[in-house]
Amino acid sequence: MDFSLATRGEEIAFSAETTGPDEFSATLGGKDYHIRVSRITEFELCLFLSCGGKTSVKRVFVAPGNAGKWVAARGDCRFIRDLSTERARQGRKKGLSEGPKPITPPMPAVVVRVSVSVGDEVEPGDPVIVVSAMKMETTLTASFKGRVERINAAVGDKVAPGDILVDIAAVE
Amino acid sequence: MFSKVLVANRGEIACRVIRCLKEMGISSVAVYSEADSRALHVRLADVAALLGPAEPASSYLDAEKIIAAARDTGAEAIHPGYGFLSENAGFAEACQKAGLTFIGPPASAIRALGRKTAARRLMMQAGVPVIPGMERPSSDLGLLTREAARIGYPVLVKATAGGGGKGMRVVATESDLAEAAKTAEAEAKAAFNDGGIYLEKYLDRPRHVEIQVLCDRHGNAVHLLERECSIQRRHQKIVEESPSLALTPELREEMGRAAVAAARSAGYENAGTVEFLVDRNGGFYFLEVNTRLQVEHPVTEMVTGVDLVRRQVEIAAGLPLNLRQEDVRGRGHAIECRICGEDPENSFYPCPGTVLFVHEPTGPFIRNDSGIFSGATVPVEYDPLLGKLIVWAEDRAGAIARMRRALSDYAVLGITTIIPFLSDVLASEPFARGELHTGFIEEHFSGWKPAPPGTDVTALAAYAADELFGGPVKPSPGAGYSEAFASPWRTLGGFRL
Repeated sequence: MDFSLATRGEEIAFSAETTGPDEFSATLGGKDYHIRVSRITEFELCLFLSCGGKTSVKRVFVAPGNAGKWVAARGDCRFIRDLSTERARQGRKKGLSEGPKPITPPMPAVVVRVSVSVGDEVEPGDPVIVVSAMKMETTLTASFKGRVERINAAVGDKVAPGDILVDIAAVE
Repeated sequence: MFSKVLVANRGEIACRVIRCLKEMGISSVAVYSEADSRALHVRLADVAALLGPAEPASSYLDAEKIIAAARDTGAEAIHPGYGFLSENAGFAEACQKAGLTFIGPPASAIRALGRKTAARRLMMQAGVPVIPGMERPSSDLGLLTREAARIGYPVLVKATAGGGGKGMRVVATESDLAEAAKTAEAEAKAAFNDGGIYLEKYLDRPRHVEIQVLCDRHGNAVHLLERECSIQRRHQKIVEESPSLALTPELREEMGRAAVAAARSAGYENAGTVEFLVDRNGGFYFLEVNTRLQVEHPVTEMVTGVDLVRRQVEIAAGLPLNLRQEDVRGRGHAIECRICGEDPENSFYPCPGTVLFVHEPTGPFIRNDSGIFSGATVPVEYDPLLGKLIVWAEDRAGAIARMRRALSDYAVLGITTIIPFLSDVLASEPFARGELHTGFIEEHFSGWKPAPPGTDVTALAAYAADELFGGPVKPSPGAGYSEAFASPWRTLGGFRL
């Protein structure tokens, strides 16, 4: 099975071959591994990782997420994205990658203040909208010189990353 | 003693208090918002009352609803936990009017100490050193600008009703003052329903050291040593320990005496904390009094062996504090890490969502004060604190080693937490050397990144293993009492020995 994964800004591709009812082999980080898997629960696995004649025990936790899996190993918990699922879905996504830095919250949040009106001219760094998540307020600022074209959110709205809260048209 | 107590809070602290009530043989009442109907504190309690919608103003900050819930369920007292209504003098008064005991200080003491500007005046009168700053709150930009110039930049904008860094901003230059004042005021208004702000001199690289006090209504007052809380991000603590390496026995005694004097001068009762900044020469300045149980109280419990929540309940019930100053002895070293649902790679932005799975560390001298569980929802409306991990060891090096081991056993899947960040802080040289100050994170960990994934073969192997060998868990052969196993106890039928 071929894996095309991404985590922490790095893309990793490798293939894994099942060699038994609870075993597989894979080349990871330039080394050949043979791995025996003991599934403990839905979320917990025990891996017996063999490489170069040495075997080590790894207690790991895995949970499926949206287009990827959450993996915890030795206190390092991270989300590993599955790029093959992600590529298949592209096109339906909201415009996170369109244009230079849109006004979008970094986390699910509630709008607490809109600092601009339609027609306002903004400079880079000008506060545009303030959102709050878990009692922390964050000011979203303009990343380029422009004019406010449309305001897509009102005070009290629940918003998520990818939602563009204010449309700003670049001005030369 | 009370027979039934309502806990006016949520999350780990509500669980902490309910567990103590159970141990005392007191019936517990949980309150909850619509967002928390599946929360752990609701399931731990004997009785639970729904307050209303998720917004704090309609639930955990709604004093009327909480008092009505206490009346309806027959509770005699209310434990407010920390945050929410815990430092609200009006709420303490309303409890009293309703014939309920507020488990905390009297309203007058909350008022005298909770308003930070008033507390500063009180401390100056009592001869406790304070940081230069404004004596009265104001949101008048003209006045703030003049005061900032008088105090000298950098200045700190603080909320008079504040706590936990809410409504606090460092301002380096005059041009940033207006926006900082506005956001601080709005944040304070949202968090405490009081938008009062003031300015204080910003000290360079001080330590944050606080003294725990306990006072009863019979005039007994003791301090329970210090907590070092210098490891902070966004002015909120994330790692706390006791004892502090910065305190000599003489300084500890001096600060302890000052803390008890401060509490006495305000007619304090119940558990409280006097916070100080300690500069590089061992000078200490009064910062504020927290008129409630602190998030980091377990650190004190671990080194002194005193159950602070139990003492709070006993004091509120009118029992005398049978603890003399000479009975309070620190033993060993305790460290607490706050497990926050935040992204340390992304300016510690909160990460609400669903916890798919949690595995908490166990082992000798390890304590988990936690409000999450596998399947828990972490709502966007509340604080990102998921739980606290506390360890104790005979000395500081042992406590660091134990905390590092415990963090490496921790797993939270489904939301991003600061666990990998905490591991790196605990593993760092400056932390090991004890060179702590409130700017520690900015100095040593700004732009922090976790270890690159390429070096971690285990995580990739785990991903592949889960994908390739998913599906139901195989029952292990030879499990003791399974149907398949022919035990003589099952096959022999009735007999007598």
